[in-house]
Amino acid sequence: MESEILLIGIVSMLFLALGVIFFVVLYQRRVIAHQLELKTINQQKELELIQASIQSEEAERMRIASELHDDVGATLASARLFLYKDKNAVFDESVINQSKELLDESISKIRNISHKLQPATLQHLGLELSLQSFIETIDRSGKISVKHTPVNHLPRVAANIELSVYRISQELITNIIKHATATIISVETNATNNHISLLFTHNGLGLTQIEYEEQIYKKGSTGLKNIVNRVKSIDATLQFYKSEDSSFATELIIPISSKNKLSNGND
Amino acid sequence: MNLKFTTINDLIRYTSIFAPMISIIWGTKKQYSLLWFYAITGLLFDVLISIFLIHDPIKKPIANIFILVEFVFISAFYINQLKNNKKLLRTIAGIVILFELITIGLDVENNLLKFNSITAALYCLIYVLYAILGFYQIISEHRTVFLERSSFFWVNVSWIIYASGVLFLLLYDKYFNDHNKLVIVKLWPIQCIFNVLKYVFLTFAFRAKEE
Repeated sequence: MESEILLIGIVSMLFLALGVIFFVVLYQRRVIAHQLELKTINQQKELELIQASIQSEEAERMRIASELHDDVGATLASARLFLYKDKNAVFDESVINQSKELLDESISKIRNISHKLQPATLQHLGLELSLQSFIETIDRSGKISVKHTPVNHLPRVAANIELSVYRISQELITNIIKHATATIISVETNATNNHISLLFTHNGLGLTQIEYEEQIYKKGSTGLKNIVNRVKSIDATLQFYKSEDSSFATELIIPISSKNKLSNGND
Repeated sequence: MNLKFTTINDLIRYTSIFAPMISIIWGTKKQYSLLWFYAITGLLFDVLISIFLIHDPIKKPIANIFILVEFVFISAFYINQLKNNKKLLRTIAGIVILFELITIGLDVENNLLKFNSITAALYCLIYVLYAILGFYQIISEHRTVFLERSSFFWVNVSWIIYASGVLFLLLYDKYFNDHNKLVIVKLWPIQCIFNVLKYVFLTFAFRAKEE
């Protein structure tokens, strides 16, 4: 009887120990499953971002191809027609003048396409002036009021960073015009030793951070996914929030290392 | 029948004595680790105890010294492994060792000559605590993905199984020695089985490739 009590004690303790081990193993398996699930979600997100990037690249190629074919191609074809219409008419001054005009038009169209691909101002004048120029162009359209407020002059940074920030700004402003039904947009640019920040504020119906994160997981939203890709590529952060005065704001913060900094904004 | 019983008991006892050999030989990868030295110490003490099996005045002090040495080894290992509460663990281990030394010091003759099973049971409780803290560290750190590949996991398994298995035996050892010695004689092979299991799991710990 006494030995049985002792045996019961031993077996009970052993069951408790096995219970602890079982719990640890089970808990760890749940953690692994959870980690795998997170990994799958992240991979899916990465895939969507890559797809969005490819889609947007393809769309851009299609746009350039159609502009070259339908616009520049047609103008150049007209010029060719003028020049080949009559061999004797080659020396006709009016034909030469019309051909010249068509060629000038073609050159101007090619310049426009090139400017859209890589803004010349960005390379020569830097991010701040390019943004200013872009903002003024939109403001001049009269459909919406866009104001630029430079708090500090932006320094010149690596070309890829400047291009990414310029494209993100373009996309954000275009999105506000397209979707937010805003009438006033304010863009504030600022720079410190370690980072550049851009604050886009508007009086329309914008996104909060949660809505933004939901949107980037949804199918479509190619523009936002491109923004995410560009933000990632320059290690920047993008925050969407609603201000106290009910206006919506988007803040883009780009860390700048000394390696990426080319000069001070005042240069 | 009685002969058979004795033969099985002897087989278990000798397996238990030489069980540390599994860890020592298979654990050469972690040759100079604390637990590898513990296995060597375990083997030496088990051999010594078996040599003086019928000489209680020699065997019991050796067993008492071993449980203290074992406690020092295991405490040192866990204090080194457990990142949080190091100070608390050191204090607990220090108090327990000091308590045992004082109680031995008060009555050297009696305390050394009798197997100090209560202290051994107390140590087992502390090993269970160490193992639970070890498991807690593993699951809270999220660093170990596959538990069977974690050396620390197997060390914890080894100690929680061994200490839980022998706790009640040690706790009632004194009582049954005074009242019904046959119960302890009959059930002591259980301690040997858990001792073998302990070294088998320790061998897994030695063989585990850290992630």
